[in-house]
Amino acid sequence: MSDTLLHIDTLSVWYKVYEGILHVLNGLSLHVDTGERVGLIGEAGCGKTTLLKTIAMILPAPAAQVPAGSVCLESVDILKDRRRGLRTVRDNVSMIFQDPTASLNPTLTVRTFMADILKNRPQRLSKGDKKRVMLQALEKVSMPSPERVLDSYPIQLSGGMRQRVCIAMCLLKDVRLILADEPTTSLDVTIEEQILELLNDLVVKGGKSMILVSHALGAVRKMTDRVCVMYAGEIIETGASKRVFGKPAHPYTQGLFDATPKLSGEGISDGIAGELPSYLTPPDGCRFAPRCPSCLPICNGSQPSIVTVSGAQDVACHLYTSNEENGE
Amino acid sequence: MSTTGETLLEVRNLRKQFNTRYGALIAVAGVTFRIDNSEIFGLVGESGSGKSTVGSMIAGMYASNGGEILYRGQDIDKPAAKRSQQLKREIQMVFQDPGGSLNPRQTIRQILSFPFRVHSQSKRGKDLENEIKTAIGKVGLPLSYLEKYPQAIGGGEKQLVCIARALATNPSFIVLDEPTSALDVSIQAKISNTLLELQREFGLSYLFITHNLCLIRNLVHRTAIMYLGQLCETAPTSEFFSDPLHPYTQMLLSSIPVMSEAEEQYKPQEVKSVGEIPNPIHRPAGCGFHTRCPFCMNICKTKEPEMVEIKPTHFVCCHLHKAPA
Amino acid sequence: MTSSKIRPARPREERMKRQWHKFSSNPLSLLGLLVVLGLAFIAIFAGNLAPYPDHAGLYLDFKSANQAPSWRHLAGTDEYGRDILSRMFYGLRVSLAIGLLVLGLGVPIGVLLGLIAGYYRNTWMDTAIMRFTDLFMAIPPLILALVVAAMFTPGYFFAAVGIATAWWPWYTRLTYSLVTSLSTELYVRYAELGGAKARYIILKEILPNAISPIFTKMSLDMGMIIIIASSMSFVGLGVQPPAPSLGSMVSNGIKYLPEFWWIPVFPALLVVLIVLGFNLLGDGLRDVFAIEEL
Repeated sequence: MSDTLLHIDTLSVWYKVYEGILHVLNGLSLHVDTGERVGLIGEAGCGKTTLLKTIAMILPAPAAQVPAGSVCLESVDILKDRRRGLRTVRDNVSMIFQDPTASLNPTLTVRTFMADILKNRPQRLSKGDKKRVMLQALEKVSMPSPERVLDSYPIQLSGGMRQRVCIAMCLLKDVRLILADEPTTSLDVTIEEQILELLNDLVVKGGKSMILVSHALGAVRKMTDRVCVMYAGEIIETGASKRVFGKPAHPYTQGLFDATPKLSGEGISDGIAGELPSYLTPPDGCRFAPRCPSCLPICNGSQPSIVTVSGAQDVACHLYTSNEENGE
Repeated sequence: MSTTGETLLEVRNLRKQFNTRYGALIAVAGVTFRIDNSEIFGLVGESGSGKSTVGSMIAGMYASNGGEILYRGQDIDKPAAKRSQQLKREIQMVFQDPGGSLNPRQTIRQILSFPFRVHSQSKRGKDLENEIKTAIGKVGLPLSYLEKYPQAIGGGEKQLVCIARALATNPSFIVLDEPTSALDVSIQAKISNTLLELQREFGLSYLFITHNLCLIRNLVHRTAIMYLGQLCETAPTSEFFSDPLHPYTQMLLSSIPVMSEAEEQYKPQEVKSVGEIPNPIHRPAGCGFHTRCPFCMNICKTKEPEMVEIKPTHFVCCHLHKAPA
Repeated sequence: MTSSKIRPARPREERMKRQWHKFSSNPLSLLGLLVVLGLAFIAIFAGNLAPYPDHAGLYLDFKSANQAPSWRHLAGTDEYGRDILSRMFYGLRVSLAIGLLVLGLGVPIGVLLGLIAGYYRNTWMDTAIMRFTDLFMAIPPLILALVVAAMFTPGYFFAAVGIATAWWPWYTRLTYSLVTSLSTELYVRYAELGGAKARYIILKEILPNAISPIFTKMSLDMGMIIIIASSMSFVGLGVQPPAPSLGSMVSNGIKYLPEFWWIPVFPALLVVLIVLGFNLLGDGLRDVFAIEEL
């Protein structure tokens, strides 16, 4: 039925900095099936951008090291065979970044960017064909007056329109996986809704897969089938979106959801005490242990392994490992 | 959550216009509201609404082009340079970007000593040291932070330093312009709670400017919403959310992505978000919102609506709602 | 991305250590630093290091004239029998002195004017200062330097004054653009709102953040200044004979090419070395002060 498009296995990514080595991603595993929409939530510094950059193969060169793990896209391990990996990534993956203004070169018109991307398609297109393809892409993203937009510079477009241009650029090639890194953070709430719906529409209609990174938790809940919660470089909980949002299992996820102000007006929780652990000297056991309100003695010593809770949620937490051992 | 009922700040028909080379940009087009003693007043809006401009004028960044700002009955509509020292002590501001608000070449101690040196010139040496220690203690940061540079501490902590700096002069009124928008959810919670505690302890009034409606719901006594420089609706927070009258308010509330089924119940009837905010330089005639309003009538295209008090302390500016007979 | 949030108790020392580490990780920058330090050492101790110190003054020995480089005279001798190496050392001292003088005079004036014009931008002070600056920049620098130097008794001091007259506008321009962008920073706005006086804001809030590009420019300028000073000596308006100056050594020596090639070539190579050293040092400084990522 659905086969695995992207499979990441025990990936570790480190950055070399002045003070030493930052052990950011730590044995992380993730998979995305064809046509699946996966959400990735977590706070600043948890490594989600690093993860996306690893998949898109745009990690900062000398500083980043990948000491372990594999990233298989369409059965090609892109880390092992760099050339083949680059080819596979460029044919199959598209990325939308957080700041549409920074993603678009202010000195080029929209037509120039799009033509650039179309240059790399396997079949040669005539000029007329190219224009047709570009207009089609712009129409798919509900862009008003696409002809005028083609000849505009980014500065003449509003933030929402710029982000639509970025999404249209993703559609120019028939990619199978779209990586969206906080696509609506810099946009207004009413525009955000439109863009997210648009993205959703395109992904679902086109049978594409998507990894949506966002700290707008409500948006992730609406727009994804499955969600992964990241903390300090590890995926600590994953499961069907409705389930995880309805009943979060990991103490961090619970703390995060509690801290989010709600429309029902219950007031604001105290947040989560403490701060992110240092990546230079990460804790030996569970990385969340120093801040966890339900910390057990075992948590400081050993890393929790992933267990399945209630048949559908995977959690990396000792609270549940012991339950599983007890046959629950 | 009680106020003393005395008016601390009153804004009447405030206007502000910026002259750009493309034409006149009307940022604030006649805004009127009141903030009482010990009240937290929330000002909500999207980009281009003018909310930050209103906050900036109150704090003294620049003077308006019309209307009045009355603080304790006195007209304070002038830039900070022309304001009295006493006034500068009483009204403080906290900005959105904690990184940019702190001079990267100064230590936290130097940053915190600034308000004391400017306002209480007699403070030197040991006195100054004690004041700085008190200031940093008010926001719950350890004394060891005094030696650090801003780059060495996290975003939430930088914002706490900005708050400590604002409190140093014992103000009565603080303008907070998106103070937590650049921060993560868990840190946002911590800062919000700190702000609430400080408000209770010192009886402060806040003008809390943000675009985050869920935060407003849980933090603020009264809420006002702006669109294209005009105030659309003002009401006590619970009423604002349970009974929104202005179509823009309804549109905004129905587009908030929420996290649980329970919250979905709290959203008003679905008003689909359409269109984009028009360019403020080419403001639509009549009601600024009419280009996107699902209930637009002919009068909306030509005549600007007036602010009416539909229910006690619930004001709306919309042709759909006339004053009660 | 945050790395460790814990810093030991001496943030200034930490910052300098980190900057040094960054600087020294580039071998070219280190080379530049070594060259500059080496040259400074030679310039200061020229008297002790020069094998024939009195050759730097009036000295005639036609028997030893025009000798090729040998162990006795490592760079050969010139047409008057003077040891070229010793004259190079003294010439170096003069060149560096001129460079320091020009910067010492031109930079404070230029930066001060730039600070005032930038902070009070869009007022009459901005217009007055910047148009005045434009006026000076409109005149070709070498000509301006020559004209000013020619108004006084010839010598290296007034040569430096002349060059400084042509040099300060560039610092005003640089500082002006730095200040205008820094003035929009939130912490400056905050200080203004808080009621700080202009003098405080300019000196305490803005200047510390503007100083790094200014230092970088100073280092990169040294090379250029020395070349201009040499050009002035070439024309006869700098250091007066018989005092040695690298520029005049080259200009006088050119007529002896190609047989007595050492007379102009060694001094010219020294000028190249000085410019190279300062440029590498300046590049290294610029890299260090650039915004650190990750």
